[in-house]
Amino acid sequence: MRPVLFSMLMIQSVTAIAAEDSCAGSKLRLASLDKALQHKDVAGAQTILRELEQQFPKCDELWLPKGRILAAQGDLAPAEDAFFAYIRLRPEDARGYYQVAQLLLDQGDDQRAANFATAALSYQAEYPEALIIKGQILAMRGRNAEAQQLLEKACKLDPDNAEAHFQLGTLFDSRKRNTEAVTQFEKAVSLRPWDPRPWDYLALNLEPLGENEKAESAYHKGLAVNAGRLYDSFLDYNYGRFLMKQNRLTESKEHLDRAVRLTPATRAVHYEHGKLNLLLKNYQEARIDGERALALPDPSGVILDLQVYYLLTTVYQRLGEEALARKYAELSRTTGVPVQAGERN
Amino acid sequence: MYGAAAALTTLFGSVALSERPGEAPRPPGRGTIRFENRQTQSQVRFILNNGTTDDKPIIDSTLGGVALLDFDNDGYLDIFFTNGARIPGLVKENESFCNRLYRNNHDGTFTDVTQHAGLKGEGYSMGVAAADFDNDGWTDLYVTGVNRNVLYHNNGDGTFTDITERAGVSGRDANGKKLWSVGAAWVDYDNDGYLDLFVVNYLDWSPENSKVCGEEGKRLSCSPALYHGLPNYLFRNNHDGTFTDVSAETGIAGQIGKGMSAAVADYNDDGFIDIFVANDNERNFLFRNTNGRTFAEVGVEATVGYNQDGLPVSSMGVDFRDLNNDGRPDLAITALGGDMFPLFRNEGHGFFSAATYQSKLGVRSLTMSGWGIGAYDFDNDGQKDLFTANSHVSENAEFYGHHKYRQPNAVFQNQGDGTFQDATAEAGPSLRLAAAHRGIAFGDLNNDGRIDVVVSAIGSPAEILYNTSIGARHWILIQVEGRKSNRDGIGTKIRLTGQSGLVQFNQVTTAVGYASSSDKRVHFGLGSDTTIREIELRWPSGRIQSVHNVRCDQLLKVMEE
Repeated sequence: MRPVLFSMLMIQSVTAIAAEDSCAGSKLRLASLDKALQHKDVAGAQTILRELEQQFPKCDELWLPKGRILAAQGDLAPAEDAFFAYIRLRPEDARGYYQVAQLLLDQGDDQRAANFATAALSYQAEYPEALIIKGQILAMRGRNAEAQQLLEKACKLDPDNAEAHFQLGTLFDSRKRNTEAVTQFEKAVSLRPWDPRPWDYLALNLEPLGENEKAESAYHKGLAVNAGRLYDSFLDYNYGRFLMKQNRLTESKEHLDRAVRLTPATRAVHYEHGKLNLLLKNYQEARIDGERALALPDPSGVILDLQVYYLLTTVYQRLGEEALARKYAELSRTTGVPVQAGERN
Repeated sequence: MYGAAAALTTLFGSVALSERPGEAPRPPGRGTIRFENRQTQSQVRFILNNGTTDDKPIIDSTLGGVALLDFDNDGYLDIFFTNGARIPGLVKENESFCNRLYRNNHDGTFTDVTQHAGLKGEGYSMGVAAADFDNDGWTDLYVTGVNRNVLYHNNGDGTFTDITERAGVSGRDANGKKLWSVGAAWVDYDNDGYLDLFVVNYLDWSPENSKVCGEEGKRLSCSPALYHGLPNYLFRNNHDGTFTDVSAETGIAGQIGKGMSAAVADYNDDGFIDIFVANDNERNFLFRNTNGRTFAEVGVEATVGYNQDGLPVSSMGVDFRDLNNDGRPDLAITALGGDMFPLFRNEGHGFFSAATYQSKLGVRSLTMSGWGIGAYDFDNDGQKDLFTANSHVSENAEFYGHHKYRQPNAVFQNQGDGTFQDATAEAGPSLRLAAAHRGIAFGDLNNDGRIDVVVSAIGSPAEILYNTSIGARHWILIQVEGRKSNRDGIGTKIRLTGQSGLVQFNQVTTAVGYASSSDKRVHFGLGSDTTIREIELRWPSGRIQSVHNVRCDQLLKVMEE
């Protein structure tokens, strides 16, 4: 596996440089730099990096934060170059491969990301971050048992790794194992309370357990920190839906209105907004929502065509648009839903 | 709709029943709903045996119909339970698989009279529908099942005779294949004075095509998505003890579903009774009756086909009754955990609106898996409440997630403002009993004016839940007898106006909940009203009849003029 990867990378054969000495004394500042990046404080990270580059101009380590800063700024090709530079200098250090894997995964290139994560693990089998990436990719491919195994291993190796708990939580979430998901998201929010995503997921998984007060509290905490680079644009959508189920329609409207503004190209937000307007008997507005939802593709299948057809059937009926109501009733009758799981658990 | 001039009152019986003397005056407002399980004292020893195997075939989770009927016309409700069979043979190999009939001894105890009655049954039974199909004054039974459907004629002497083959209601299709039936409903769809039979069919399952799901050693019930659905049956009564299969000519057979149960009501007030079918993981059906001749399936148009999210849910049981006293029958449905129990409010003009969220039933029911359901006024305050029998489908569900297989039943108290409050916690320890509940039948077992509940449970004794609600107030039970209409008066719509002016609506039906059959007598809670200004009955024959100035707390018998 390794030779293939190296071939793919077209990495020139380099002699590993014993760079320990060139980075001596940088450890504490590097830790600060890492923390700033974890918090998505790119400007702060840049400042620290500049200081380090001046103090330790020959330190190889600096290629990694440099690449991460570039990636955070959206400069993906230079970021990749930086990580490859590091790999050339330290070909047996798993961290270089991991960073490339993360970069590729963020770009949706999961096949290549998997290869680099494998490379990282070949040098350091118990590398939590690489295990997380591998686990994520396996989960995306439906290999849930293997994914769970890797993510649980990552959690065990680094119990304070918020991302490991978050990813394990999302795996449980996707399998509707809500209780286990809640455990992981609770851990994630305790480690990374400034990240709105695990708050959102925590709330979503508390809902089916009937833990409505806790869910609402999680939504509130997520909304309180929902800013900056970790902004969760679906938090308002999810909280608006939650409030609609509670029949708190005015409050729901505030959040679903915002969700529509935040993610106008998403079918789901228009659909839920339409449902809300139907409940509020704002039929004309519901019609606009429904028709917008219909016009937007939803390849991920969050809101099925059937759901939009049925919403439009109801709205057109209320508006007395009989021909349209009949058309969408027929579509509602004949449109199927994806085959569900074979078992009932 | 009820504005026609009242006809002359005709009473042929007015029986004052227990008024619970000595009780303290009840506080104003809503009472506390309570139930007490008197199974031990009742001597009802029935345990629902699903005959399951390690593979957990899908039939093992869907049985459990219960009926409350007065089979011997002694004025007290008796209990009939359906039961399973050995799998895969589908034969009631021993006594533990027998269906059971328990006669009410009027003192809180029951006697098992199954053997004498000839009701031990055959095959893997599922549901039951009770009514007097031949207008002879004795309640008959139709028992549905996987491999046998049986029509039992009540002989009037404590025995029943299997007349299935002669009657032509065996549930086999044109090719002689028996379809798996779960629910059934007696309904006079053509208003000819005789009850017709609607049979709800589920899946194309057989021991040979049975699927296996889940891991070995912890198998799960497979999803119905793995099986083809089936059409339902409608049998027209020929008035001579036989029936004709009119499923095709009426449009019923044209719809393929995965039906679990049916409830009936004239939702559009055109004088012809309509049929709602709860389908499992498929679009629900609302069969709109077209002048007693054919049916149009309008579930989507009426917006009851899918849930509030526009998706099919695992609809299980259903009751079709007016929940907000506006004279229009609404739909309350049970579904599986995560689905929420759908509630559809009849808006008139042929539309329903999804009220699952607004009623607050949705969030409360999110973690429940429901089977039987009934809308009855348990605290006699003039508002119908809801009771559900709960349990997850799969016995091994707990191996895989947070769902509990055995769940307590639930009662939701109608707040009179369109919302329901989960009143289970205050309903007494009997409603904390977790079990694999399935069918429910509702009725007044001890004629005290409070609606009692009998629930079956897989592997556990059936629960005989007496209503002991605190602060429950005045009431009336109405038993109708049709002359031009069918003798049970099924389909009769009743409007009651209390002394205080409160107007309520109900109807005569036995098709309630999941695969079960409830008391045909119609119950009304009256709150503090001690007299009833008017009771107006609209019979299936079209006749409108009124009774005035009726005393509360009695069983009122009304015969069609």
